[in-house]
Amino acid sequence: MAALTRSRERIPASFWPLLALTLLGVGLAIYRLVVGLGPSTNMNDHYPWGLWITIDLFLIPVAGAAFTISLISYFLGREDYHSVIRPAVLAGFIGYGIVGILLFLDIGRWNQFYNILVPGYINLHSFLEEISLCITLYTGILVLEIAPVFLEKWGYKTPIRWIERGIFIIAGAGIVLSMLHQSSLGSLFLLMPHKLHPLWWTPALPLLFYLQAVYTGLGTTAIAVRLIWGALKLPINRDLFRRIGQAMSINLMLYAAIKVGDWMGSEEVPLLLRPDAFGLIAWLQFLIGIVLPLGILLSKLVGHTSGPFWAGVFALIGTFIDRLVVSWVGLAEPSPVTYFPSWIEIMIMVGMIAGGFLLYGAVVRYFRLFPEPEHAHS
Amino acid sequence: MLETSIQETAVRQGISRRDFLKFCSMMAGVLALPRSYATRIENALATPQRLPVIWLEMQDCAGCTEALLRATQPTVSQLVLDVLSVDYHETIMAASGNLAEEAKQATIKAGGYLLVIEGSIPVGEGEFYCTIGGKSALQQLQEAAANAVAVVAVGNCAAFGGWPYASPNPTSASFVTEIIKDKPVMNLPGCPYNPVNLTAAVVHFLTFGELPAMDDLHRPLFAYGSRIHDDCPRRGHFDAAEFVVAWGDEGHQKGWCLYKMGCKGPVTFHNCPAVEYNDGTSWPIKAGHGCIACSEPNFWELGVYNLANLQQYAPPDTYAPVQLPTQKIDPATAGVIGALAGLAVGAAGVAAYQALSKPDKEETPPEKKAKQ
Amino acid sequence: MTISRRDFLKVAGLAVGCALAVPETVQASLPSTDPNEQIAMLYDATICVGCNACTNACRQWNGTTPEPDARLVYDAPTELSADTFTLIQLYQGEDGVFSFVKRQCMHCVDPACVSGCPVQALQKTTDGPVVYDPERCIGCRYCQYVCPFHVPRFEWDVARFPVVAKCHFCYESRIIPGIGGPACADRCPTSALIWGKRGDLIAEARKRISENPTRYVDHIYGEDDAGGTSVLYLSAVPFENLGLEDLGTRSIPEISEETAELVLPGILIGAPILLGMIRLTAKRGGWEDTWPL
Repeated sequence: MAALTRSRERIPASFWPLLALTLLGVGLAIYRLVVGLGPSTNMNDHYPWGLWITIDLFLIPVAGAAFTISLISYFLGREDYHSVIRPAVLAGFIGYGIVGILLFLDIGRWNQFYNILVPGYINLHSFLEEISLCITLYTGILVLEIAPVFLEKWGYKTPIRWIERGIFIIAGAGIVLSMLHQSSLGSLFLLMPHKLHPLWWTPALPLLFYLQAVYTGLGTTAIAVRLIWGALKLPINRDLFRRIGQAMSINLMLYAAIKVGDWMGSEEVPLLLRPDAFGLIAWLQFLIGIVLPLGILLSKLVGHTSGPFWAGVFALIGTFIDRLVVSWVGLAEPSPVTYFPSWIEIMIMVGMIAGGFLLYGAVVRYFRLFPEPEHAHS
Repeated sequence: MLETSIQETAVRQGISRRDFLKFCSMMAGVLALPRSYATRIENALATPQRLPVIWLEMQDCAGCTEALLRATQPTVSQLVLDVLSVDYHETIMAASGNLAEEAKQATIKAGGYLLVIEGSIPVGEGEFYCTIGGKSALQQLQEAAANAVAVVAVGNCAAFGGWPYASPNPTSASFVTEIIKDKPVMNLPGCPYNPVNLTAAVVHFLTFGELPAMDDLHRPLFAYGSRIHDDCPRRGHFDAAEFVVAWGDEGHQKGWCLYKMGCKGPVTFHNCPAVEYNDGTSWPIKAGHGCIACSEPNFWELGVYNLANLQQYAPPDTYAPVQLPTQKIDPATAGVIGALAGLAVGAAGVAAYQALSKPDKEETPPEKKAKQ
Repeated sequence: MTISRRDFLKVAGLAVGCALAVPETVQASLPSTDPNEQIAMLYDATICVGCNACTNACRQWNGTTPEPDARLVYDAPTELSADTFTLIQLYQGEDGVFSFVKRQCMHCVDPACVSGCPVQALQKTTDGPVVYDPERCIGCRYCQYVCPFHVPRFEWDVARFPVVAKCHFCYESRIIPGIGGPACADRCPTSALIWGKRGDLIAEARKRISENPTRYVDHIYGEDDAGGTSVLYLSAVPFENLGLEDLGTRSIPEISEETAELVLPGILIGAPILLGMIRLTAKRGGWEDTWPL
């Protein structure tokens, strides 16, 4: 299929700006390591976590598309989903790579970052420790899962066979670890019942974060697959999208039920009716991130090839707002000091994401990420 | 009777003009007047004047008199007091008996004198605990005050009752301002008072013809206008939290603040740090013991080694204010987030509407359709 | 979906085996000492005169850098910082009502920071004080994030390598060597700030309240608040006015720790079940030996 083989000489127009942004991001990252967090970021004692943590909290469920697809494919049969597993795992791998780099840049004593792995230091009560361990292991699993894409191109057949033999354990561990740390991201905030705005804090945070990660991952998959198939002019598997959309709507409804149930149970509904900024943000998040996607997915538009795509877009916006509020906007602090990311923080983040796109595009271009259509039904 | 001025007397006594002028400047200083007033004081003292004084001792220990007599200071000071024609002073006058009484009556009749009272005055049932020359102290006071120009109560006893006034006050002691209501009264409390302040008050009187400005306890502001704490040379140690905690400890040897040893400097108004006692020899804090507030009414109730109450009534605004935790979004953040959200949703909304309202053109391959 | 008896037993046996193997979940790193036997401080805001001797003593003892006011004359910090472990703030209400309040680490009985620190850089000692070890710290600032009293501060302007800063009760520098109590408590001229055994201080505080009922708000802040703290407060004005919020009596880490204790059993029980189900459906679908990659 000609569509799959690209001319090696023609570099797409997006390459150069992405490269520039990536190099800028890398340079600024080095600057941050040299001068410290104070001069390079706007984080302060009242807002110790900022944009990078927000992006991490957003990218992890998005990159969790990898685990969501793995999970669903095992239950619903690889034939329907195998075509999307590779792109999903690659997105996961790159996403977690960006998260790892941003986390490394975020911690102040980065020369001792390996302390999170030292047995004598590990605090199993701390969800931050759990997340660190999970992410470390999960990144390793993603490396193993994506390795065949590279190994087959370079002709290392033996390692591929080892991976295929152990794939059940590898993928299984990936699924378990992923579920674990998606919910642990929510558990992080269990330690701040009084500091986080009551419309967002609930003892059910781990469950809410997990469900959100599932539907966000599905949404990301719908978006990524739709874009890539559209760009490569491959035929669309509408049944695939329908199933993604249905799975998404179930999780969205569960999420909505728990969220609203918690608001009612904790008598927080009056907070939604007050004319203040936080009530407004809660409404926006709910309408854009839950109601709008459900509106698309529960109608006949779920069968539309772009239905789950747009539902995913809105769900992702809603997830972003949620993670933004939880990481710094919703904090109660005894100070008039506020936080808005510095341009260096923004450009480092932009640079890393640009690098991610660059890498993704390179892999799509030079490696076999998608099956040849003839093999699609074997 | 005097026809020569203080200045002339000074000259005759061999005191140089320079020393005389120095004295006038010093008095201006003690009176908290600008230095230019030294000239006015000099002029006043150069004018022949006569100021008779009757000095009555009531229930006293004569400590205030002794303080006065200890003034070995600038001889001119002594002169001022000498020259004041102290017509009646039981401790120091030579006369006694009827002769002394007659001299007093004569002065009273002539009028225009300064009445100085030392010691508390028993009243009511205890009136006769103090009798002098057959009359009670109270009678003596009332008679003497009748023609006086002004009354000066020296020492805590005359000003606020002093030690005799302390519970149970067995002699029903009282003090000048409780008894004399129709004459200007100036209190110079202290135990003893500081004679430099009397000298300065007299100089003021000679220069301006009236008693100096006083607070609501009749104490002249130049001497009782600020707290010991405010002028204390050890204040820096207080501010740096360097306190003596035991007699003879390292802090004590270094001259640290005596607050924790009970110093009442923070609640006592007096100019001891500035003028010191015994002609500038020393004063309690300089000697290493805290102030006991001897110029304040009822000072004995404070307890020498209890901590003074430092409570202010209105703390200054220089303190860091308590901040209460609130959730807030600053307008800039809200604006940017709102704009981004609006753009994202708006763009997505428009695009979504366009995509989803169009008929679905993408077709699945025929093989797939058969499988469905 | 039909499952053969054999397959069911296989999965169930694996799950039960793992469940039995669940080790004793690691108890919270709290020593099992009675909090009332631990050392603590009592701050009586009605006696405090705002002299800042405590701020100064802490400055001198720890050798931290002063934070000058705008005229560069006085050391005048306005809030805790990487250089200021304690300070006095002023609350001014109506009708001339005012009160000072001392800010510092509360050395909670069950601290959120200790529960949250991934590498146990913050630890609750058996004697009571919560201490910090920069050797372990990775500078993630999670402790800053979760502290309900907004205490820990960070050296933002240090590049290599910043530490988290907070009051350490002068535990290793003064209490253990027997020099005395915390520098601030030893310096307080009015004895508004005293230290000793927590149980004794609570008894003293109760005595003060009962002997002077009109002088105090009838509550010892820190006795139960947020599970109890080792820095106790007495006040004449409502505690909310002093920035000491009503945090309830439940310790902050309780919910988080209860959830954390579910993790290991959850994995060891849930994983085999989940993977077993996956294996079974893969078998049924006939693709258990191939992999789409």
